[in-house]
Amino acid sequence: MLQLSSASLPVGGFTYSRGLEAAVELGWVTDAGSARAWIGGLLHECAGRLDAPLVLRAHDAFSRGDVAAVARWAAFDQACRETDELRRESSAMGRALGRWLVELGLAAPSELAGEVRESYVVTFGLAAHRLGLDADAAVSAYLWSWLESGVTAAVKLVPLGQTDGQRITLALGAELEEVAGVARALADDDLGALVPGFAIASAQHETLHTRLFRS
Amino acid sequence: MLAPCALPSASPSDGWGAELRVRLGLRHGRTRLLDASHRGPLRVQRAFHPEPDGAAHLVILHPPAGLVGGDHLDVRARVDDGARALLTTTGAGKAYRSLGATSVVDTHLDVGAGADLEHVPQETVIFDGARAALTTRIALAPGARLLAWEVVCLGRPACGERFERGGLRLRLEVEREGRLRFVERGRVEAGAAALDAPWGMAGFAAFGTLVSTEGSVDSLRDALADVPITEARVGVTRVGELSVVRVLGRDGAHARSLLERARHRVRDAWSRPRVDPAIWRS
Repeated sequence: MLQLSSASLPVGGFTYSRGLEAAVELGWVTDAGSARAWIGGLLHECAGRLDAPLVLRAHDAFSRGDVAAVARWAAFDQACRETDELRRESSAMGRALGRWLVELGLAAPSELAGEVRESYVVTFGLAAHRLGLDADAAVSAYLWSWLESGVTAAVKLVPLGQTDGQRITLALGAELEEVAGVARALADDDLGALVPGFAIASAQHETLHTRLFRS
Repeated sequence: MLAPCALPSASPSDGWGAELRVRLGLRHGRTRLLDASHRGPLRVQRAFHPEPDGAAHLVILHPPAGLVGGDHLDVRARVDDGARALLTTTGAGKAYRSLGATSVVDTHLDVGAGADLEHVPQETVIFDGARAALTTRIALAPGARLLAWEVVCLGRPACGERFERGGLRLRLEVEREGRLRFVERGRVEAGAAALDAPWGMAGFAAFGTLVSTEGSVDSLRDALADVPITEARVGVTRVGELSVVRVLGRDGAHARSLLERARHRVRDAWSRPRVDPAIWRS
């Protein structure tokens, strides 16, 4: 679990800010308080109500060897990504994680065919399954890495001091169990996040003149 | 000075079910309303033909003009191969305060090969205290072209009503040849952080999402480039084969007016004139 949630996992997670770079540029996020509100809000809405439930479903589908369900959730995930950049982010990270799994002999290339490798969360579910994590650990690993990369981006972009960053991680880290609980409880029909401001920030990031991050 | 909000005239009830089924297709070079049937208070007027290419404009009418808790409207429309149709509504939809039950609107649209469909209903106003679930699912055949939007206003900003109780579930899905291409779905709970948070509604009462199979991202951005950041927020992107425009505006009519500008660019890309449905101006 530590390996899968580690910042050194070679998927490039730290090159994506998920809209935060645009939010800072537009003046929507200006300090530690607004950074925490941005990351925390999206943690509950996007990571909690879409990403983590998809990690759970992918983990379950791979556990049962249900190839059709894997493909269906991967296609659903891709259709839910709000912008071109967010779609590319999911696809690039999914492919990178898929290569890592194949190199370590944990997955066969055929398991990562088609839309599967285009979905980071679905590939993450596969990785968790092959590393022997149970569903709860898979979600914890996902949420932890999501939070850590978000805070790291905020420290660079706002910018914040390292201690401010650690405070945000500590505060939001205490909410991860609640987020995981919501993710576990959601029915298939309730998956999804309605986050217009986030989607607009991500779309505006696509036209920023100078960008440190790829999303 | 804001005018006070009038209380909704609808009385609490167990709600009504209503269905509408329509089919549009080509006859002698024009798109005609071939079949229309309904159950309960949902109707269509006769089709209008204000365009040189014979496209049909169809106006959906919900005579009660508002939804109460427990109402369930179910609309299904089919546009046959090669036909051209525009669907809109007679006015803004309203979801009234509910005693608990949810008002449900389900819309299923099926667009045949090489057909054009514009699904451009007027906005839906979700009154404070309402619970509503709005679902639009669109299936495209090969070569079908689409422009669809959903515009929602939470509360009634014109009279200072905020969205303090109730909730909205929203779902907009587009598939082509059985594969999902675009999904926007989620919920907003009244009084939640999402209403004011910059990642959510950012303090704006209305939001709108337009999806289209045509219209370059550059031309759609250009259509909205002069909108001041203080008045609205606009995001334009491409998601797979669809162009997507999202807006936050001060009320439903404002958000829709922004999407109308984008719609004109899609019309340009379709090499069709910028014809608006007459009902929007009446």
